[in-house]
Amino acid sequence: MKLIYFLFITFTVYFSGLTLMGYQNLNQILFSDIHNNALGVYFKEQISDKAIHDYKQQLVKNFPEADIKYWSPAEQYQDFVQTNMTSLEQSLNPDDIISTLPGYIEIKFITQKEYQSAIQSNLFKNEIVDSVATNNSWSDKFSSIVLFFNVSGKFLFLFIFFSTAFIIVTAVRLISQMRIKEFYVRHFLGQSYFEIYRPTATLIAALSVVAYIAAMALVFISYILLKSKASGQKDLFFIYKKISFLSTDSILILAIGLIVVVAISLVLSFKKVSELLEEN
Amino acid sequence: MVQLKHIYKTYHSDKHVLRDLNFEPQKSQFYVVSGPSGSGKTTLFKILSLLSTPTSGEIYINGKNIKSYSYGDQAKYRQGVGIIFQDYKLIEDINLYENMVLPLRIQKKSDKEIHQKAAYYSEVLDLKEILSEFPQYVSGGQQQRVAVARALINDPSLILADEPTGNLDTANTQIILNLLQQKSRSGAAVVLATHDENIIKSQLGTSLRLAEGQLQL
Repeated sequence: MKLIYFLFITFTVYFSGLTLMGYQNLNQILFSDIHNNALGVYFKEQISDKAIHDYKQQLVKNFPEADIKYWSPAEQYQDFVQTNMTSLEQSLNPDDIISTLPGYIEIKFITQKEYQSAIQSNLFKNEIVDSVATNNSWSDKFSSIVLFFNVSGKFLFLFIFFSTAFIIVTAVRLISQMRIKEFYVRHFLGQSYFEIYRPTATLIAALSVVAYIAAMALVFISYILLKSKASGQKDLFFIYKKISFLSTDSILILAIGLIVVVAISLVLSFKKVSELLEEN
Repeated sequence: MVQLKHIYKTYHSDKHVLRDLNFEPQKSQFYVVSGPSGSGKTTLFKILSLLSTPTSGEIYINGKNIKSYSYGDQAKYRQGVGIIFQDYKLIEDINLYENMVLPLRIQKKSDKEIHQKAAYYSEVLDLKEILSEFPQYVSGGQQQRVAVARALINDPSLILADEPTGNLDTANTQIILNLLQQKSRSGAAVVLATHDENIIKSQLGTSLRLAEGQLQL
C-alpha cells in the first residue's frame, strides 16, 4: 500500500509538474532558438571557421544575408549568460561549456511559404552539417498543444489540483483504514491523537517528499528529452542549459509545491484518523 | 471516580440502549453486570471509558463535568482505565509482549518498570512461552490472557472487563477472577460484564442486572 501511495503521488505530481513547467517553459523550449518560420542548421563538432564561412556564403546565394545569422559557441554562451544561467552555472569555467556547444546558423523567413519551400529543398545538405532543426511536423503539432495549455491553462490547473487532492485523500484514507484497529487500541489506552497520528503522518510526509522529488526529476528529464525531440539537438547538456527549469521562479514554485503537498497530506491524514476514531 | 447521571444512549431513533441510567462505581468495589445480548453492557463500558458519547445525560469525573474536558484530559483519564474487550483488540503488527506493555509505553514508564511488570503478569498468566509470538498465531484463550494483562499492567483505578473469561478454561478463569479481586482489594473499582452463570452466582461482589436500559440490583 505504501508503494501504491508513492506511485499515486509520483505520477500525480509528475503530470501536474509537467503541465506547470509546460505552461512556463514550452514556448521557450520549443522556440527559444527556433522561431516561427525559422530553422537552425547545426554543425558537426570541430568544424573550422572557414568551412562555416564558405557554407554561409552558399546560403547567401539563396536567401537574404540579413536573415541569416551564425551563432558561434561563444555567442551562444554569452546569450545564455544574459538570459538563463544560474549562479551555479556561472561559477563553471566558460571554456568548458563553450567547448561542448556546436555552432549553428539560424535562418528566418518572412512568410510561411518561403519557409516551407526552403525545408523541402536540398539547400542545407552538406558534409559539415549535423542536423537541420525545423518547427515543422512534430513540433508544429506540439505547438498546438502549447496553445491549448496557454488558453485553457487555468482550467487545467484547477482540474489537476482537484485530481491531486482526490488522490491524496484516497491514499490517506486507505492507509488510515488499514491501521484503524491499531489507532483504536491506542485511543482506548489513552494515547493522544497527536501521538497516535505521528507515525502515520511521518510516513505519509516522507512518502510525499520522496514522491514529489521523484516526480520533479521525471519532469526535468522529460523536458530535456522533449527539447531534444523538438530541436533535433542531441547534446542533452546543451539542452539543459537552454531550459529555464532552474530559474528562481521555478525553484520557488517547486518549493511551494512541495510544502503544499506535504501540508495537504498531513492535514488530511490527521483529519482522517480523528474521524475514524470518532466513528468507532 | 466516574459518575453517570441520567444517561440515555440511542443508536437508532426508536431504540434506546441505555435509558436514564445512573451509576457510580466506588473504589475497592467489585460489580458483576449481567444481562442478555444487546442489553447495552458494551455501550455502558464505552461510556464509562469516554470512548462513546451518550445521547443525553451527564458524566462527572471526580465531581467535574466532562463537558469541560479537552481531548487531552479525556486521554489522560483513559490511561487510568483498564479495559478488557470481548474481542481482545490486540494489535496484529506487534508481538504479544509489546501488546501487553503498550499502556506502559504510552505512559512513558521506565524500561525497568516495564520489564518488572511484564515479568510479573507473564508469570501469573502463564504467558512466558508465547510473548514473542504475534496475536494471529496464538489461540483465543492466549490472546484473552494477554488482553487481561494489558488492562491490568498499569494498575488502573477503574477496570472494565467485558466477558474476560469467555474463551478460557476453568483454571485460567479462576486465575483471572482472582487477579481482578486482588485489584479490587487494592483499591480499584472493577466492573465485570458476563453471561457466565457460575460467575454471577459466585458472589464476587455487587451483582447488577442491565435490563431495559437500566442497571438494577
